[in-house]
Amino acid sequence: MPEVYCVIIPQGKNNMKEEAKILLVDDSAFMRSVLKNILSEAGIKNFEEAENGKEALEKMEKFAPDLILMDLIMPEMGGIDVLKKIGKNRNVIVISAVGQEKIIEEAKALGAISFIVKPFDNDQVVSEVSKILK
Amino acid sequence: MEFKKDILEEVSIAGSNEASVSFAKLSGEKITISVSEVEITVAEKILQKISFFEDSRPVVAYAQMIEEVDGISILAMSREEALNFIDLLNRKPIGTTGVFMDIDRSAIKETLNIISNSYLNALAKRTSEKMTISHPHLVNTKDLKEMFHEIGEKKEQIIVFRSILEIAKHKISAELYLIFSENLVKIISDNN
Repeated sequence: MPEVYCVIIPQGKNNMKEEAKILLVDDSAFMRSVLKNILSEAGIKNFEEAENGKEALEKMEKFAPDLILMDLIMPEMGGIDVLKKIGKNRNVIVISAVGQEKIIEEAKALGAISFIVKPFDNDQVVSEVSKILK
Repeated sequence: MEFKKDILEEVSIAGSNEASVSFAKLSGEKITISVSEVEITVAEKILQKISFFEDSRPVVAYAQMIEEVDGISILAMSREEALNFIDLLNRKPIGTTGVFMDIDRSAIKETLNIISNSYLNALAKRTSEKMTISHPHLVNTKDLKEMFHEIGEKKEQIIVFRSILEIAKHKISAELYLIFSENLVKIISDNN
Protein backbone atom coordinates (compact mmCIF):
# COMPACT_ATOMS: atom_id res chain seq x y z
CA MET A 1 0.00 0.00 0.00
CA PRO A 2 1.72 3.23 -1.10
CA GLU A 3 1.96 6.02 1.41
CA VAL A 4 0.02 9.14 0.54
CA TYR A 5 1.47 12.48 1.51
CA CYS A 6 -0.61 15.56 1.88
CA VAL A 7 1.02 18.98 1.66
CA ILE A 8 -0.90 21.66 3.50
CA ILE A 9 -0.32 25.18 2.24
CA PRO A 10 -1.10 27.69 4.97
CA GLN A 11 -3.97 29.87 3.91
CA GLY A 12 -5.73 32.71 5.70
CA LYS A 13 -9.41 33.38 5.90
CA ASN A 14 -11.26 33.42 2.56
CA ASN A 15 -8.62 30.97 1.23
CA MET A 16 -6.18 33.79 0.59
CA LYS A 17 -2.48 33.07 0.86
CA GLU A 18 -1.26 34.57 4.11
CA GLU A 19 2.17 35.24 2.68
CA ALA A 20 0.76 37.25 -0.24
CA LYS A 21 2.25 40.72 -0.64
CA ILE A 22 -0.04 43.65 -1.35
CA LEU A 23 0.94 47.14 -2.43
CA LEU A 24 -1.63 49.80 -1.48
CA VAL A 25 -1.42 52.90 -3.68
CA ASP A 26 -3.59 55.85 -2.71
CA ASP A 27 -2.81 59.48 -1.87
CA SER A 28 -5.29 59.22 1.01
CA ALA A 29 -3.66 57.85 4.17
CA PHE A 30 -7.17 57.27 5.47
CA MET A 31 -8.08 55.05 2.51
CA ARG A 32 -4.82 53.08 2.76
CA SER A 33 -5.58 52.49 6.42
CA VAL A 34 -9.16 51.35 5.66
CA LEU A 35 -7.95 48.88 3.01
CA LYS A 36 -5.18 47.57 5.25
CA ASN A 37 -7.67 46.93 8.07
CA ILE A 38 -10.10 45.10 5.78
CA LEU A 39 -7.39 42.87 4.31
CA SER A 40 -5.64 42.27 7.64
CA GLU A 41 -8.92 40.94 8.99
CA ALA A 42 -9.10 38.67 5.95
CA GLY A 43 -5.69 37.22 6.85
CA ILE A 44 -3.24 39.20 4.71
CA LYS A 45 -0.10 40.20 6.58
CA ASN A 46 2.36 41.73 4.13
CA PHE A 47 1.66 45.27 3.03
CA GLU A 48 3.60 48.09 1.48
CA GLU A 49 2.16 51.54 0.84
CA ALA A 50 2.69 54.28 -1.73
CA GLU A 51 0.99 57.66 -1.92
CA ASN A 52 1.38 58.26 -5.64
CA GLY A 53 2.18 56.45 -8.87
CA LYS A 54 5.84 57.41 -8.89
CA GLU A 55 6.40 55.96 -5.43
CA ALA A 56 4.37 52.89 -6.43
CA LEU A 57 6.68 52.15 -9.38
CA GLU A 58 9.73 52.32 -7.10
CA LYS A 59 8.12 50.06 -4.49
CA MET A 60 7.02 47.51 -7.11
CA GLU A 61 10.67 46.77 -7.86
CA LYS A 62 11.74 46.31 -4.25
CA PHE A 63 8.61 44.75 -2.76
CA ALA A 64 7.53 42.59 -5.74
CA PRO A 65 3.84 42.57 -4.77
CA ASP A 66 1.48 39.75 -5.72
CA LEU A 67 -1.29 42.31 -6.05
CA ILE A 68 -1.56 46.08 -6.31
CA LEU A 69 -4.64 47.98 -5.13
CA MET A 70 -4.44 51.39 -6.77
CA ASP A 71 -6.35 54.67 -6.88
CA LEU A 72 -6.49 56.62 -10.15
CA ILE A 73 -6.28 60.30 -9.25
CA MET A 74 -3.08 61.00 -7.32
CA PRO A 75 -0.49 63.78 -7.27
CA GLU A 76 2.78 63.44 -9.25
CA MET A 77 1.65 60.35 -11.15
CA GLY A 78 -1.87 58.95 -11.41
CA GLY A 79 -3.04 55.37 -11.73
CA ILE A 80 -3.66 55.51 -15.49
CA ASP A 81 -0.03 56.52 -16.08
CA VAL A 82 1.15 53.67 -13.84
CA LEU A 83 -0.96 51.20 -15.83
CA LYS A 84 0.53 52.57 -19.07
CA LYS A 85 4.03 51.95 -17.68
CA ILE A 86 3.53 48.46 -16.28
CA GLY A 87 1.16 47.15 -18.95
CA LYS A 88 -0.38 43.81 -18.10
CA ASN A 89 2.66 42.56 -16.22
CA ARG A 90 1.22 43.03 -12.73
CA ASN A 91 -2.00 42.13 -10.95
CA VAL A 92 -3.79 45.44 -10.42
CA ILE A 93 -7.19 46.18 -8.95
CA VAL A 94 -8.20 49.81 -9.37
CA ILE A 95 -10.10 51.32 -6.44
CA SER A 96 -11.40 54.76 -7.34
CA ALA A 97 -14.33 57.09 -6.70
CA VAL A 98 -14.46 57.77 -10.45
CA GLY A 99 -17.07 55.30 -11.62
CA GLN A 100 -17.60 56.48 -15.19
CA GLU A 101 -17.74 53.87 -17.93
CA LYS A 102 -15.13 55.58 -20.13
CA ILE A 103 -12.59 55.61 -17.28
CA ILE A 104 -13.36 52.06 -16.12
CA GLU A 105 -12.94 50.79 -19.70
CA GLU A 106 -9.68 52.71 -20.12
CA ALA A 107 -8.24 51.23 -16.91
CA LYS A 108 -9.29 47.70 -17.87
CA ALA A 109 -7.93 48.06 -21.39
CA LEU A 110 -4.58 49.08 -19.89
CA GLY A 111 -4.44 45.95 -17.74
CA ALA A 112 -6.48 46.47 -14.56
CA ILE A 113 -8.00 43.11 -13.64
CA SER A 114 -10.88 44.63 -11.73
CA PHE A 115 -12.34 48.03 -10.87
CA ILE A 116 -13.97 48.82 -7.52
CA VAL A 117 -15.85 52.09 -7.14
CA LYS A 118 -15.57 53.96 -3.82
CA PRO A 119 -17.37 53.85 -1.47
CA PHE A 120 -17.16 50.06 -1.42
CA ASP A 121 -18.45 47.28 0.78
CA ASN A 122 -15.69 45.51 2.70
CA ASP A 123 -16.90 42.16 1.35
CA GLN A 124 -16.49 43.37 -2.23
CA VAL A 125 -12.82 44.18 -1.62
CA VAL A 126 -12.15 40.82 0.04
CA SER A 127 -14.00 38.98 -2.72
CA GLU A 128 -12.07 40.67 -5.57
CA VAL A 129 -8.73 40.24 -3.81
CA SER A 130 -9.35 36.58 -2.99
CA LYS A 131 -10.14 35.82 -6.66
CA ILE A 132 -6.56 36.80 -7.49
CA LEU A 133 -4.76 35.48 -4.41
CA LYS A 134 -6.27 31.99 -4.28
CA MET B 1 -33.07 79.28 -20.55
CA GLU B 2 -36.06 77.42 -19.03
CA PHE B 3 -35.10 74.29 -20.99
CA LYS B 4 -31.57 74.48 -19.63
CA LYS B 5 -32.82 75.09 -16.10
CA ASP B 6 -35.06 71.99 -16.28
CA ILE B 7 -32.16 69.80 -17.37
CA LEU B 8 -29.85 71.27 -14.76
CA GLU B 9 -32.46 70.65 -12.05
CA GLU B 10 -32.77 67.01 -13.15
CA VAL B 11 -29.00 66.70 -13.01
CA SER B 12 -28.95 68.34 -9.59
CA ILE B 13 -31.44 65.81 -8.20
CA ALA B 14 -29.58 62.85 -9.71
CA GLY B 15 -26.23 64.16 -8.43
CA SER B 16 -27.53 64.87 -4.92
CA ASN B 17 -29.06 61.39 -4.76
CA GLU B 18 -25.79 59.71 -5.77
CA ALA B 19 -23.82 61.86 -3.30
CA SER B 20 -26.25 61.04 -0.48
CA VAL B 21 -26.01 57.29 -1.17
CA SER B 22 -22.22 57.54 -0.89
CA PHE B 23 -22.44 59.69 2.23
CA ALA B 24 -24.77 57.10 3.81
CA LYS B 25 -22.38 54.29 2.94
CA LEU B 26 -19.42 56.16 4.43
CA SER B 27 -21.18 57.17 7.63
CA GLY B 28 -23.34 54.08 8.08
CA GLU B 29 -26.26 56.42 8.80
CA LYS B 30 -29.51 57.51 7.16
CA ILE B 31 -29.06 60.70 5.12
CA THR B 32 -31.59 63.40 4.34
CA ILE B 33 -31.05 65.75 1.40
CA SER B 34 -32.30 69.04 2.84
CA VAL B 35 -31.15 71.16 -0.09
CA SER B 36 -30.60 70.22 -3.73
CA GLU B 37 -30.45 73.24 -5.98
CA VAL B 38 -28.77 74.68 -9.03
CA GLU B 39 -28.24 78.26 -9.99
CA ILE B 40 -26.67 80.12 -12.89
CA THR B 41 -25.06 83.21 -11.39
CA VAL B 42 -21.82 85.20 -11.08
CA ALA B 43 -19.07 84.36 -8.60
CA GLU B 44 -19.46 87.56 -6.59
CA LYS B 45 -23.09 86.74 -5.83
CA ILE B 46 -22.38 83.20 -4.70
CA LEU B 47 -20.11 84.57 -1.96
CA GLN B 48 -23.16 86.07 -0.24
CA LYS B 49 -24.96 82.74 -0.38
CA ILE B 50 -22.33 80.40 1.00
CA SER B 51 -23.55 79.88 4.54
CA PHE B 52 -20.44 78.16 5.93
CA PHE B 53 -18.52 81.45 5.73
CA GLU B 54 -20.55 82.51 8.78
CA ASP B 55 -19.08 79.66 10.83
CA SER B 56 -15.96 80.82 12.67
CA ARG B 57 -13.88 77.67 12.04
CA PRO B 58 -15.42 75.54 9.32
CA VAL B 59 -13.59 72.52 7.93
CA VAL B 60 -13.48 73.05 4.17
CA ALA B 61 -12.14 70.60 1.59
CA TYR B 62 -11.57 71.82 -1.94
CA ALA B 63 -10.65 70.24 -5.26
CA GLN B 64 -10.34 71.39 -8.83
CA MET B 65 -12.10 69.69 -11.73
CA ILE B 66 -9.81 67.99 -14.19
CA GLU B 67 -10.57 66.35 -17.56
CA GLU B 68 -12.94 68.12 -20.00
CA VAL B 69 -15.03 70.52 -17.86
CA ASP B 70 -13.65 73.41 -15.75
CA GLY B 71 -14.82 73.83 -12.20
CA ILE B 72 -14.28 73.25 -8.51
CA SER B 73 -15.82 71.20 -5.74
CA ILE B 74 -16.14 72.16 -2.08
CA LEU B 75 -17.28 70.25 1.01
CA ALA B 76 -17.84 72.13 4.25
CA MET B 77 -18.84 71.20 7.77
CA SER B 78 -18.51 72.95 11.09
CA ARG B 79 -15.53 71.77 13.12
CA GLU B 80 -17.71 69.93 15.63
CA GLU B 81 -19.72 68.22 12.89
CA ALA B 82 -16.52 67.16 11.15
CA LEU B 83 -15.15 65.63 14.37
CA ASN B 84 -18.41 63.72 14.86
CA PHE B 85 -18.38 62.61 11.23
CA ILE B 86 -14.86 61.21 11.72
CA ASP B 87 -16.25 59.06 14.54
CA LEU B 88 -18.97 57.74 12.23
CA LEU B 89 -16.40 56.95 9.53
CA ASN B 90 -14.33 55.02 12.06
CA ARG B 91 -17.47 53.38 13.52
CA LYS B 92 -16.66 54.83 16.94
CA PRO B 93 -19.02 56.47 19.45
CA ILE B 94 -19.71 60.13 18.75
CA GLY B 95 -17.39 62.29 20.85
CA THR B 96 -14.40 59.95 20.60
CA THR B 97 -12.39 62.28 18.35
CA GLY B 98 -11.60 65.59 20.02
CA VAL B 99 -8.62 66.77 18.01
CA PHE B 100 -7.92 66.47 14.28
CA MET B 101 -4.97 64.22 13.50
CA ASP B 102 -3.43 63.91 10.02
CA ILE B 103 -5.43 60.74 9.32
CA ASP B 104 -8.66 62.63 10.16
CA ARG B 105 -7.80 65.43 7.75
CA SER B 106 -7.11 62.76 5.16
CA ALA B 107 -10.55 61.26 5.88
CA ILE B 108 -12.33 64.60 5.30
CA LYS B 109 -10.47 65.08 2.00
CA GLU B 110 -11.33 61.53 0.94
CA THR B 111 -14.98 62.19 1.79
CA LEU B 112 -14.97 65.13 -0.62
CA ASN B 113 -13.29 62.93 -3.23
CA ILE B 114 -15.90 60.20 -2.87
CA ILE B 115 -19.11 62.23 -2.67
CA SER B 116 -18.04 64.74 -5.36
CA ASN B 117 -17.16 61.94 -7.73
CA SER B 118 -20.49 60.23 -6.99
CA TYR B 119 -22.20 63.49 -7.99
CA LEU B 120 -19.98 63.79 -11.07
CA ASN B 121 -20.65 60.17 -12.05
CA ALA B 122 -24.36 61.11 -12.27
CA LEU B 123 -23.53 64.29 -14.16
CA ALA B 124 -21.24 62.46 -16.60
CA LYS B 125 -24.17 60.28 -17.69
CA ARG B 126 -25.82 63.47 -19.06
CA THR B 127 -22.74 64.92 -20.70
CA SER B 128 -20.86 61.97 -22.21
CA GLU B 129 -17.72 63.67 -20.93
CA LYS B 130 -15.16 62.37 -18.48
CA MET B 131 -15.60 64.36 -15.26
CA THR B 132 -13.52 64.08 -12.14
CA ILE B 133 -11.66 66.12 -9.54
CA SER B 134 -7.99 66.42 -8.66
CA HIS B 135 -6.70 65.30 -5.26
CA PRO B 136 -8.40 67.45 -2.58
CA HIS B 137 -6.90 69.97 -0.15
CA LEU B 138 -8.14 71.52 3.07
CA VAL B 139 -8.43 75.29 2.70
CA ASN B 140 -9.31 78.21 4.92
CA THR B 141 -12.26 80.45 4.09
CA LYS B 142 -9.97 83.46 3.52
CA ASP B 143 -8.24 81.67 0.62
CA LEU B 144 -11.58 80.51 -0.71
CA LYS B 145 -13.05 84.03 -0.64
CA GLU B 146 -10.01 85.35 -2.52
CA MET B 147 -10.46 82.63 -5.11
CA PHE B 148 -14.12 83.57 -5.61
CA HIS B 149 -13.17 87.25 -5.94
CA GLU B 150 -10.65 86.29 -8.65
CA ILE B 151 -13.29 84.26 -10.50
CA GLY B 152 -15.74 87.16 -9.98
CA GLU B 153 -13.37 89.62 -11.63
CA LYS B 154 -13.78 87.73 -14.89
CA LYS B 155 -17.51 88.62 -14.78
CA GLU B 156 -18.37 85.27 -16.27
CA GLN B 157 -21.44 83.29 -15.35
CA ILE B 158 -21.00 80.13 -13.34
CA ILE B 159 -23.25 77.16 -12.60
CA VAL B 160 -23.53 76.30 -8.93
CA PHE B 161 -24.87 72.94 -7.77
CA ARG B 162 -25.47 72.98 -4.02
CA SER B 163 -26.53 70.09 -1.81
CA ILE B 164 -26.90 69.86 1.92
CA LEU B 165 -26.68 66.32 3.27
CA GLU B 166 -27.85 65.80 6.81
CA ILE B 167 -27.44 63.05 9.36
CA ALA B 168 -30.33 64.12 11.56
CA LYS B 169 -29.60 61.57 14.28
CA HIS B 170 -26.23 63.20 15.03
CA LYS B 171 -27.03 66.76 13.89
CA ILE B 172 -24.36 66.62 11.18
CA SER B 173 -24.86 68.75 8.11
CA ALA B 174 -22.45 68.69 5.17
CA GLU B 175 -22.60 71.33 2.46
CA LEU B 176 -21.44 70.22 -0.98
CA TYR B 177 -20.82 72.60 -3.88
CA LEU B 178 -19.93 71.77 -7.46
CA ILE B 179 -19.23 74.92 -9.42
CA PHE B 180 -18.68 74.95 -13.17
CA SER B 181 -18.02 77.41 -15.92
CA GLU B 182 -21.05 78.19 -18.08
CA ASN B 183 -19.64 75.91 -20.75
CA LEU B 184 -21.29 73.01 -18.88
CA VAL B 185 -24.74 74.21 -20.01
CA LYS B 186 -23.69 73.90 -23.64
CA ILE B 187 -22.21 70.43 -23.06
CA ILE B 188 -25.39 69.23 -21.34
CA SER B 189 -27.64 70.81 -23.99
CA ASP B 190 -25.63 69.21 -26.80
CA ASN B 191 -26.08 65.80 -25.21
CA ASN B 192 -29.82 66.00 -24.45
